[in-house]
Amino acid sequence: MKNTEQLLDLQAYVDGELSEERRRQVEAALPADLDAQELVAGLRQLGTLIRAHEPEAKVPASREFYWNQIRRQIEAEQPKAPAASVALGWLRWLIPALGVAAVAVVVSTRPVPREITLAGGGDVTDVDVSSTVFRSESDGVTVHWIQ
Amino acid sequence: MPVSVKHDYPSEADETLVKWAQQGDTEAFEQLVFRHRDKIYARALMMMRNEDQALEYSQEAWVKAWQRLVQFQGESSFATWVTRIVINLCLDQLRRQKRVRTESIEAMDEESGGVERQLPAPETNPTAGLEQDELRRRIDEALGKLTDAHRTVVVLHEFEGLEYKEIAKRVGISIGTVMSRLFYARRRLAFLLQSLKRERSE
Amino acid sequence: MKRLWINRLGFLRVGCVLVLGALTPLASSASDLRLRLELAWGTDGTAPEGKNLRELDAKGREKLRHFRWKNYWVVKSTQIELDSKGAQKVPLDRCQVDLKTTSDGHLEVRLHSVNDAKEVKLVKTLQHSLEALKRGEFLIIAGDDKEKWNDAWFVIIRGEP
Repeated sequence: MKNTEQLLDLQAYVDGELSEERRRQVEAALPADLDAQELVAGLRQLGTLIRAHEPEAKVPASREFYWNQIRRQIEAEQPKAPAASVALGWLRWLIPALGVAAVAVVVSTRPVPREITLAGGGDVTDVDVSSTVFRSESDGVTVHWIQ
Repeated sequence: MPVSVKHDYPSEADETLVKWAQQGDTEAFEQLVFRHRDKIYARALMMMRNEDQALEYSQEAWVKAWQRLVQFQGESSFATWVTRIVINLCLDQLRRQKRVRTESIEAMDEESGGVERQLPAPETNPTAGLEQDELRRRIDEALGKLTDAHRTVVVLHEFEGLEYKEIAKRVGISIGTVMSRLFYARRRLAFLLQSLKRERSE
Repeated sequence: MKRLWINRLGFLRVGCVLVLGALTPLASSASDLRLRLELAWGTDGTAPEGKNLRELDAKGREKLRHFRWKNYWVVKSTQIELDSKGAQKVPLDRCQVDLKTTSDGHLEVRLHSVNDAKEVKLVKTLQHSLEALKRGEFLIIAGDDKEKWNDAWFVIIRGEP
């Protein structure tokens, strides 16, 4: 059974991500390694399969409706630019008062700003690792599976 | 006497329409939207797995494309450029949502590796027509069963053709994480497709 | 050898998973919480030679029965007490867990990775109901062992009488 590093190395080989030297090494070792050959073949086959059958979808709206929505948004965005500048200007004034070393401001591009976030520079206060949560009431257990 | 020239937008190539749109021709831009809207929408749908959000973000992508049109210099195809815009919008939203699915406890067996940790070689039966559509549908279904994180790396690698380094930069993760997520996602897809194929033949 | 073995667990670099569980006949007062934190390794293999690792007890295995691994070896086990205003930092191998009770009846868990240079980096923050823990629920954080493809790591926190 191959370890993770070996598996990912073979994947990188299939994806053309290895250095030239490393690619040559992997290729040289392949003839003697049936497991590796099978994995390489499987990865290639899967890639070919899904790329050749990329899911398609049609916009569920008429041409006119879809375009009118876009056109209205374009027109609505234009007069909002000055308002966003005012908001940013206010925050720039606020920075020295707060003594915040670094400020990140996110202003929604939507007509009504949805979210304004100030992030202090300094320690990273949170790194969000993606996870999936599973729960069983009857078993009394909650599992956070870290990706 | 000035002669007004009526453009035949549908017959013009993207490059010409882009040039006209950059000069303020909204009809030219509308033709570009009409021509590529399904592709942009499909990409958003693949990322978000929600029709309303896909519609919203695809439209927002077009708005941004219009706003940034002067920056487009033909370094890629126009459709690719707009696709990248919609992907970034979707990535931003997925990060904001930080979605946590609450699954049944049984589902975690598969998520955690309850399936065999090997990559079964998926079989294909290359018959034309209906089978191909069915395969497309099954692949879409399998993609929908991946987590956002895993589906994102698959979309960016397999359908957008991005290298590991570029994926890492766009998603904000390490190259190592790109590799492990991609491997996990491929393994899961292979398993799902094999399962779906077994269901079909039963 | 120990270091090499710990390195193989992989997840220790990423962070640990804490499972918080509280058994019903808990600590001396209604607001106190006695918890046991266990770092466990899920594998189909045997425990590495030379390591005196015990198997996870029956109750823990029962809570993990939906997972597919044959064996769960306890790498580290620690017991702590938290009062109603409590906060504690719990070091485990290659990770640290900060626990704090909140005013709205939750336990906040902050998981940190600790690298070889002892640099601490916050990885995950989550909350769980104190009442649920006192009722005997387990809160588990887990993930794939990045270095050993088939294995996984679990941090199990349970309440103790």
